[in-house]
Amino acid sequence: MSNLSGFRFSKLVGRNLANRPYRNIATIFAFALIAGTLFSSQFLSNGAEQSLDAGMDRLGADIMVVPDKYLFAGQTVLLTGEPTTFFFEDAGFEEISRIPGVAKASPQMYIATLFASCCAAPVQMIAIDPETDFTISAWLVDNPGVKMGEDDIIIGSNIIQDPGKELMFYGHIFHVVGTLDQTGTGMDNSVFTRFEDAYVMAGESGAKAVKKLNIPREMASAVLVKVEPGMSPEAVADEIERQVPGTRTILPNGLMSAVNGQLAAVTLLLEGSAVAVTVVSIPLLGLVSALVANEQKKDISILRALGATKGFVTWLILAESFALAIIGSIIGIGVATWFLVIYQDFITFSLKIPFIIPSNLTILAEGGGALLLSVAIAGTASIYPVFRITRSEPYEGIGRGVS
Amino acid sequence: MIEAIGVTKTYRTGSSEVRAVDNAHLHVHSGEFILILGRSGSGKSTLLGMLAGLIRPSAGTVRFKGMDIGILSDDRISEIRAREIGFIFQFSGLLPTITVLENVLVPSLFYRSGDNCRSRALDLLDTVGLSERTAAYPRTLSSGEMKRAAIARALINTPSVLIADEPTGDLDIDTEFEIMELFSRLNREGMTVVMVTHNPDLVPYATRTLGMDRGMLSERFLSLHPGNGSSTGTGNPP
Amino acid sequence: MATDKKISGIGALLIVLGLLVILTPWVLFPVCEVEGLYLKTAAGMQIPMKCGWTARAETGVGALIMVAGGLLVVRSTPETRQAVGVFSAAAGILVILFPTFLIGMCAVADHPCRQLTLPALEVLGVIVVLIGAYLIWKGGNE
Repeated sequence: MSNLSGFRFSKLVGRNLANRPYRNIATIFAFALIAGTLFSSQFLSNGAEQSLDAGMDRLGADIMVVPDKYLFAGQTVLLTGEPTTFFFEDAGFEEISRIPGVAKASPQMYIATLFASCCAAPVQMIAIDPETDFTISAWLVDNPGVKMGEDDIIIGSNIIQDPGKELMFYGHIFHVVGTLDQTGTGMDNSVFTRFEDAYVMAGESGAKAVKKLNIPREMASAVLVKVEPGMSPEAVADEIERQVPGTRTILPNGLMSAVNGQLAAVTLLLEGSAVAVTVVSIPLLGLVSALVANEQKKDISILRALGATKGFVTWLILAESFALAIIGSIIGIGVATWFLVIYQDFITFSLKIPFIIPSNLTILAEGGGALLLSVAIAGTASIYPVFRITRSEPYEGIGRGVS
Repeated sequence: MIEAIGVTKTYRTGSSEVRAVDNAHLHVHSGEFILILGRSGSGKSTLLGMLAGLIRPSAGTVRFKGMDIGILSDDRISEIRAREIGFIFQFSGLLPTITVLENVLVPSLFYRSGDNCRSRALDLLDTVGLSERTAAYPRTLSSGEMKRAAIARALINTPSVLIADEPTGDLDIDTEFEIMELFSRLNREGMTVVMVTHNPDLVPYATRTLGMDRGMLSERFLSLHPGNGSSTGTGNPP
Repeated sequence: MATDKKISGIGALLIVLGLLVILTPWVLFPVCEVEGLYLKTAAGMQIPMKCGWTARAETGVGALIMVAGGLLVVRSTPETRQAVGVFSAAAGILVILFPTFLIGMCAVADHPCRQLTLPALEVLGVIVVLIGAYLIWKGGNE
């Protein structure tokens, strides 16, 4: 259809669009809204899912066992990192280790640190047993230069301090030896230390800290479990809850459901908006498309008279529609991405969901999906004008019986 | 070249029926310059539309180079229009969103008659006296200028037949003369011309003149030599 | 002339945007400068309250944007348009750079200065830059 030394089809499309700026701006706005809302809901839910995957991956555990009274607190540690302190009344650690299907088990203790002023970070301290731990040890394997010795801590990505410097909790000085990668979960607000150092800190807290900290010995807040390869984590989790009374288990799927529950309101709003905008837009866009085609009837008849096939004029109408859909979608997706990125802190804290910006591939797929939907809507809205064109005679638009 | 056999076009408006063309017979031979004279409303434009395959006859057949265009596919007819027929509308019919030069180049979207469309378009615009207005948009042109651009557009693909509906309608006398000389030259070079007009002064340019009145076509008996000022008469040829 | 009215309108818009830049860190999405310009955390570190300093800087830039907008309303020659355009683009970039690279905001993700003030300033900055770019382009076309 194009002609190198003559006139191009794309130029004709562009000129026709430029001729109707106000109507096109309104159409572009509609497509931007559709694509933007759909993209946003996908962006948020994928961001939450990828964050959870990263967090659970970082944790290295298939199952987290917590006291049944503190199930929600346990989820909070993982999801948002709001500091909390709780313990098993009866450790049950040895029993858990003995359950068939449990490959590794490691206890952890959760201690909330103090708030000093408005601007101190809320920090969740997690004490680990270096002998059995498989959370931090995995990270240490990836970072062989780092050793975790006395009073050494490894901090989450949200904690403000550089490796080599110090942090003080309950009056006790710790040395920062490493920073974990961002996961978007509560892990980012956590610091990891050894059980022994936590006990020392608690012991000194009466003299050195604002408030005394009491940590019972030989007790844990949670037990992280790694399951034997080939075993079903759900089955092992059920077995743990059955054999060790007073426990509840948290699994990644379960967490995702919890997160989805919180996200549901937002994604429902966004997806609902996308559907509503689509439903309203299709007839509206169809009307605009029909009006435009009506105005263009004469021009189309002229093109037909000059030798344009029905296919050509069909493509002309569709190309104009698709161009508007693509431009609108790109604008909508671009603006949505921009707002979601710059407001991500606000979103995650107000929705209380884990969130990281999805991978580039995911964003591309989300954008592609939203774009395809817009193009499909554009095509649908153009059905009637195209139908009219293909059924009419070329000279109809010019007027009959002119002379 | 083109044959119209008993073509009729009837339009229905509500309960009434209008016969724009009534049982017309016309055989256009290759190389002829045919002039069809008639007043407004006589059905000239409708007849031209049927000859170009733009309007489907209610009855009768139209043949182009022996092919019955009534049974051809729409794509095939479009191809014939693009390659073979240069059509000039009564109202000039320029596309408002593109420039004069781009308008002239539009037919090249459907059929490329060569690699130098652009220079050919510029030559044609120069021939019709629009070399200064190639970048102008139709809304800034006078009706005469628009008509001249439409003429250039009809010729861009070097068609074998030119079908023109009142091509000199909006032109001043001097320009009309120039355009008719152009048509005459093209005709001598082999292009068939079928032209509709209400101006009897143009008869001498034609090799054959017909009349149209209330949808009915009739041969105007005339000497076949153009420009010799012979008197005209209406009726069937001997 | 319609174009003059449009340019005056853009000037008025710049005045409004400049005002918003000033109001954002103090009133609309205020930074929490409760303990003065420096803060000692529980962990024993002394950190500057960057958001407070950023707010002051934004006040200055916002005022300049308002002046530029006023100039455009009062005197709308092609040269003025281009000059205001260049200035607005630069000022808009500063509005974005102050809270991000030049000064910064609190590093803690859950603080209002980071969650709300920063994104709002980024949006305002981009709009001012776009207006500046438009004025430059428009001035260049005449």
